[in-house]
Amino acid sequence: MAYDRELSFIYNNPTRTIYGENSIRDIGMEVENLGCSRALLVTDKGVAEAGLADRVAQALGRRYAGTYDRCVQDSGVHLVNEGAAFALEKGADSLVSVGGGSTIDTAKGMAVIMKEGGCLQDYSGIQMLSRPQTPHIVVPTTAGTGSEVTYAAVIKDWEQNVKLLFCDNFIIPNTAILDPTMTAGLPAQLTATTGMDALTHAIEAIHALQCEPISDAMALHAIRLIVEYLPRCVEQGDDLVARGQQQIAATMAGVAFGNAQVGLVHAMAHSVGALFKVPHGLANSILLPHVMLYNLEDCPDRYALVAQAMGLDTRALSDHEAGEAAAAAVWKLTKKMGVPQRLRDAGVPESGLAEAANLSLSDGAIVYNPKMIMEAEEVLKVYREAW
Amino acid sequence: MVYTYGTEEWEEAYRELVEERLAKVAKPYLMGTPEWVATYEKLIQEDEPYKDSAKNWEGTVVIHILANPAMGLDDDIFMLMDLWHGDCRSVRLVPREAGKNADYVLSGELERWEAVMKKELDTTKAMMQGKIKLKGSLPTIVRYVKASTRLTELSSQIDTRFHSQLTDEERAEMMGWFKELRARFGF
Repeated sequence: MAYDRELSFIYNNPTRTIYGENSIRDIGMEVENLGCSRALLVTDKGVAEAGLADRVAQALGRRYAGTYDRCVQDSGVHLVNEGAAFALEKGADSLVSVGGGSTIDTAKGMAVIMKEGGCLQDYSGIQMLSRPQTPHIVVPTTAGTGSEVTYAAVIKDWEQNVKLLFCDNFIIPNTAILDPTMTAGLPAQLTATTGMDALTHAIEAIHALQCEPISDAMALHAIRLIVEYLPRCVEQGDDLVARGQQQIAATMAGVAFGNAQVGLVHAMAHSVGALFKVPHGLANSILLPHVMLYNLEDCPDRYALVAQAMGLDTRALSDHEAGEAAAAAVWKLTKKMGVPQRLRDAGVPESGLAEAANLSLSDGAIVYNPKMIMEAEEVLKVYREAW
Repeated sequence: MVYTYGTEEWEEAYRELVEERLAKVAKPYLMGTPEWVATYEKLIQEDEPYKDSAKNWEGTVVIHILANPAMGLDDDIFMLMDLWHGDCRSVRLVPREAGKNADYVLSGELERWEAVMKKELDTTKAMMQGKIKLKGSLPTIVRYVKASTRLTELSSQIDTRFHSQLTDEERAEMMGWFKELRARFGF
């Protein structure tokens, strides 16, 4: 997969990114920078109860229009519609999402309905929008999803029981505020698994078929930061240097996969998430090294880059050996952080693996995996290894 | 005579039009013309790799080419493929309403489709980069990547003349007869 004359890409990274301890204090100015004056805060009950939403509301000051705090895991179309109606009722001209991936996705959907009106389902697909949407600032409270800089949102239609995927450059948030104090209270296990989500984004961006040199740079540096700082975050949650570097890494990994895409790890993680409620970061964490080994013969040079970024000495190793060493290093990292190593430990029954394998074939991420997969049996083999 | 899409008369007149043009027009065919579309239909219908990879596929797919008056395309083109369990029942130029209501609609500028058909642009990559838009259920279409890739490959096998290769005179002439066909068939 070395680059040659066929290399052709569009690199897109429009999100203004602000970093610093207590940088949340600048959020009012950021709302005004977007030409807005009233921002609705979008969050979930947990973040609200932790006092994080209040901090943002206070920082917004006179630009604060109200709070919509009904976001839940697996965001729903009905919540997006409800939230958008609430925002318009409050006279909001912008959104500030404070939370993890589901909250950010809810706000991405709300931004569309506030601007376009109508039915959210009409915009499901790839690049269906044709103009900028309601301005959206993201304040992540986890350091993993990268959703603050990506063009994708997954929102469930609860009535039809289907997940709708929205891939559109016009839903990329305008601004991301990375404030390490906003993630300092995250429990150790959640820190570890969401952090592994970021590592998976970075490594999948390296092996994905749409990889290119600029996203490579983002991904490789994200890997360096995660390997160094994620264990520190887990060991000592109030280490704001480590928290900050991990946040930066998650955002860089988000930029990387937003351009290069992701592959089989995400397809498989989405499936066990949908069927057995395995948290996304945990599923990624368990599956990542198995998929690396499965893909290894198709892109050993890419995994050699990963090994180097992980700080492994690869001088005496072939690319293939370096790839194996990288997968082993992922296991070592998760073991060190006390993250479960097997799908059976994450509540996945062996009897459910075949269904999950079949479901994975319908996941958009699988298209970008370096090894082309057409049969569920192939995916099932990887699931069995990880079980 | 003006025909109403969806009626037997329309279908019969369309088939006659295609036969007439295939007999009259010399290759290479201009992309998006009835003779080009008919050639594409035949290629898909006879292609075993497509049949095999799409054996469970159900649904209509539209290639939507956006208008480009400077290139001689004064209105959008909707090319509807009626695909069912590996069979290609038909490929037709259809009116806007019918095209917009297909199960899957792939929309793009004329230049993008030219690049796809010249194998200069990968459709999957083009979608993610916003060069081509997709409306429809992603989970379903993802299962048929091999089939959709094959459809693209087949389009590139047609001996094609592209709008960008026309002279000004040819372009003006084409706009004239294509406008007349649009008026008759509503596409």
